[in-house]
Amino acid sequence: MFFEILKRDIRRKRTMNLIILLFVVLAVTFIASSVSNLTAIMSSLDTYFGEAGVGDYATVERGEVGKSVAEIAEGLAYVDDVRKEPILFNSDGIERDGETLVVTDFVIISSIDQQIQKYYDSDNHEITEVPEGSVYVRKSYLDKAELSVGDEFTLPIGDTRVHLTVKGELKDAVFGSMLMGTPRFVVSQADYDKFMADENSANYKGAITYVDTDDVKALQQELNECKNILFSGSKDTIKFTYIIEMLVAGILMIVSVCLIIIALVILRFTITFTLSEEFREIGIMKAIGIPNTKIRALYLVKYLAISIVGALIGLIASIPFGNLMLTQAADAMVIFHSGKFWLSGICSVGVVGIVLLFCYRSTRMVKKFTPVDAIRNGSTGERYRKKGMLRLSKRKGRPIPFLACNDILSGMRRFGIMLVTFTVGILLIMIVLNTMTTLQSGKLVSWFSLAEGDVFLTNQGKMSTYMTEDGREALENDLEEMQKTLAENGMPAEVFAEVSHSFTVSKGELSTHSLTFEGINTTTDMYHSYIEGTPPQNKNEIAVTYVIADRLDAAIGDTVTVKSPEGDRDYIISAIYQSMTNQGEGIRFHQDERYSFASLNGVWATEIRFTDDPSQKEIAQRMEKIRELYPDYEIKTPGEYVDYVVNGISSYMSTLKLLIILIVMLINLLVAVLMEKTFLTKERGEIAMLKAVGFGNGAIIRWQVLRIAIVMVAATVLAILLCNPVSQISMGAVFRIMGAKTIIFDVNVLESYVLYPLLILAVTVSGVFLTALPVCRIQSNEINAVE
Amino acid sequence: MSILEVKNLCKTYIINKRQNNVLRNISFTVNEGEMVAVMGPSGSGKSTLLYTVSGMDDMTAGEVRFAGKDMSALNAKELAALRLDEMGFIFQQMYMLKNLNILDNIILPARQSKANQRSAKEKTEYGRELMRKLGIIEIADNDINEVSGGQLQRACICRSMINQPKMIFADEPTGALNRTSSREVMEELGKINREGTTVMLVTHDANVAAKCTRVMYIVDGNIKGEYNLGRYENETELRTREKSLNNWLIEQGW
Repeated sequence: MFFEILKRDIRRKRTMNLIILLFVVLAVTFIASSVSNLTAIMSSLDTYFGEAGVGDYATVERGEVGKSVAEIAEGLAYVDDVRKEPILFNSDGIERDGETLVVTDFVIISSIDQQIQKYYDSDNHEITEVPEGSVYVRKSYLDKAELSVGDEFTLPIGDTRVHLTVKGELKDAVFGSMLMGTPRFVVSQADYDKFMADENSANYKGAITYVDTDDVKALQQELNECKNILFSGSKDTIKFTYIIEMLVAGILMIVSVCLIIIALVILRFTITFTLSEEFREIGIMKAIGIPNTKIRALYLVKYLAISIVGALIGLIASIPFGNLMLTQAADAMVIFHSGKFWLSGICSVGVVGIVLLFCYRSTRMVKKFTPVDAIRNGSTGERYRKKGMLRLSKRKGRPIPFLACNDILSGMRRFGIMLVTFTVGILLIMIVLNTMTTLQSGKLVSWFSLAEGDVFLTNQGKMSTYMTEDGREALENDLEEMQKTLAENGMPAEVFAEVSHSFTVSKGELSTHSLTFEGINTTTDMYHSYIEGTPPQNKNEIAVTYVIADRLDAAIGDTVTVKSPEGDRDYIISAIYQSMTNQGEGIRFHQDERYSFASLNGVWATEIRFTDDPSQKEIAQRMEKIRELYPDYEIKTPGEYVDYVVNGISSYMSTLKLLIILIVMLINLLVAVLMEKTFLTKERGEIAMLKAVGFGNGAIIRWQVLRIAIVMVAATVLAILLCNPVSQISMGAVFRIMGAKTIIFDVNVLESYVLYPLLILAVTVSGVFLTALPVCRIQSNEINAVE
Repeated sequence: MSILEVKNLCKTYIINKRQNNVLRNISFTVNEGEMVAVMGPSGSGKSTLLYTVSGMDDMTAGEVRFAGKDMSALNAKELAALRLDEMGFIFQQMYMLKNLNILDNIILPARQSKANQRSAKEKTEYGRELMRKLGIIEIADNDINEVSGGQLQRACICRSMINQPKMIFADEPTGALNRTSSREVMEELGKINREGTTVMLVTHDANVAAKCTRVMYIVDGNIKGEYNLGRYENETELRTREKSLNNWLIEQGW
């Protein structure tokens, strides 16, 4: 009888067993590949940085004001080594087919002969030479510029233009990650010399310095006196910028944990269902003296077999799947260590172990069955639990929706499983969608230390011309001119811009480096990123980001000192704000405060804010007109500008969105089909009875499908309610890493709350409909054959 | 006037490539207001006959006309509508939806029916009226696992009556009941029949069959004989009816 039951179970519950097998396969594939990839990336990062020769601390300088990093570091006792490489900054983009293409604000140009770190090509071979006329560029830049290996473009520095051919993809440890906005072009020394020969090359000069030291913190304090630093960070900070490359593996790991939980819940449901169906066999086995442990072993053997087969398939599938998921990271860095297969093996064994443990717990109900159950058809005469929750007699309308609602309310345990599964899935999609909408909304503009505008104009070449002593006057004149031109063309608007310096700020013993912002034609109350206090009202007041406030242990009301080439000035902190620039650092001056443009390190976009409140359609039309008026500028919406600033992360998330939607759809479909199968088995008698009394196939299928559709709609509502708090915990953490303390996610209601849930609903309901079709084969005369 | 006309009805099952002729050229007529019992040994085709003439099962050959409608010409949807609006069913297993209480189970077919023109409130009231008539009004709000088998079967009778069908088909309606409950259920069926509803039931119990107006005896898929008992009026004549029926059944080979 032992194996007879097992055989019958495998035959009768083919779909259920198959679905559990699929869940185990998916869970093992995802967990094995994500753990393997995460360990591969994390362990390779250490080796990669070591092999490439990245120093313990890296700085990027622009200009040559005062002491350089190398000069400061070389005299320090705790510094082991200092390596400096001269570089050039290009801010004019590249020229291709007569058109200028600006993909990023800056491009760093390095000579292969002056390298202080190793570079690698797409085949992970070290690049030791670059022929004259050739250039190596990282893949993400090539993709965005729609360039391929072998393509040609012109790179301008001042009045010098050098024609270059893309020799290959560059893997650059420091400037290779997606979060690092500035890419590096590695050229030959001959080409580098051509740029250096330009009479204005001094305006583009900079340096990268690597310092090897045991005391990064002390070094940071010393370097605060350096006025030229554009970017600085420890090796660990730079490694951290590869977080986006690890995002896919991280999300897959979360998905796999969800899958394991779902698999366990479904397993419990299936076991309970199977046992309640086989009470007679179990009762008879007990009657003839077979002990509980042996009966439980019968079911454990089945699930052990399923989970071992699933784990093996999953483990094998995790190899190609993992490699596929690793592509993003492998394009950006050298993966020195492949994922550890034994670790994937342990994950697989772990899944099997968890499944078995759970099975063992779930089969406890075997103990409750007695031989009397077998004799009395499962009825002990003591089951008086109230079933129905709603009353048909007290409601109007057709009975099918009533039956569906009543079933859900009467069987919260079984429908609860679906509710939880669907909610988690929809929630995942909503979080990704809302994050993307937030990134694309343009609302983040204020979190990049900018005032909100309707149109953004960028022209890095033009912008860099303002970085001179009389730059302020030139910029103010240009803004005024633009405002006048716009008004003459029927577009009344305010035109303003943002400029930034990089200064040292201190409070007592503590000091730090920070970007400082000054709005041209703006007032401090036009910025919407304050989280505490009031915007600076006087010249001696400033707002600081909470990151800077933390570094200085400062609060509102405290006085801090800003050290600039023009001397030290004291300011009272009047507000704390948040910014995602340079991972949260920033200081905002009052509009009347003035610093020389000669020491500027950045002129951000020129912004236009229309004063006649035009519609979105009108703004779009005006953008076309502005394009004609200012052909040298790139014209962007706020959303496009944010995407440009965050280096296209939102487009990367689109790929992620697609992956998550597919996974969620698959999970929902599997859960819904499995549940519907069990319902059909369990409700065979009720269906036969309904058919006998005159319910048509259509009505019965509607009843079956409607229940799952209602659960799906309830899950959507629940997901909408949970979306914001869960987004704050999950994606909010990523934004916090980037410097945003509080975030209000933007929601595209139609897309997040209607279209995608509807798409998933349609797929799930179609699956349930097809699963419910065998209802047509149930004969009404089966009613007497039902146990 | 006949309500059910069956001509040359055949039903064949093919099991493991073997043909099993369950019903062989059966012909009979049931008139309006009749209460017909179908008897016969196990496996003779009684239940199959009931399910086939009520449209629950397909016929292999022959003709069945219910209230003038040729059932072989109706599709599954039309047959379902016919069962819902013009037929009532009672089964040996008192099957009801376990998530509904007794009253809701009774009014469920009425709420599904498009032909039943009563309002939802009127349908509920009619369901209560039926329950009152059958003496089970006190269990209206009970769950199905809170009542006895006899009460449940009477609830099934109420359900079968809710759309005021022309005919009730009952398959061993007392098969799962004790003697007292069985007698009560038959009394109710008798009352319904006397009020004008035609009843056709399958039974093994001569005591049940003795309360019918006519008995058909089936052997190996053929009607071997028919016995007219006339209308059953009261309990005093039951013994005599049962005795004569038994004698006839013995003649048939019972």
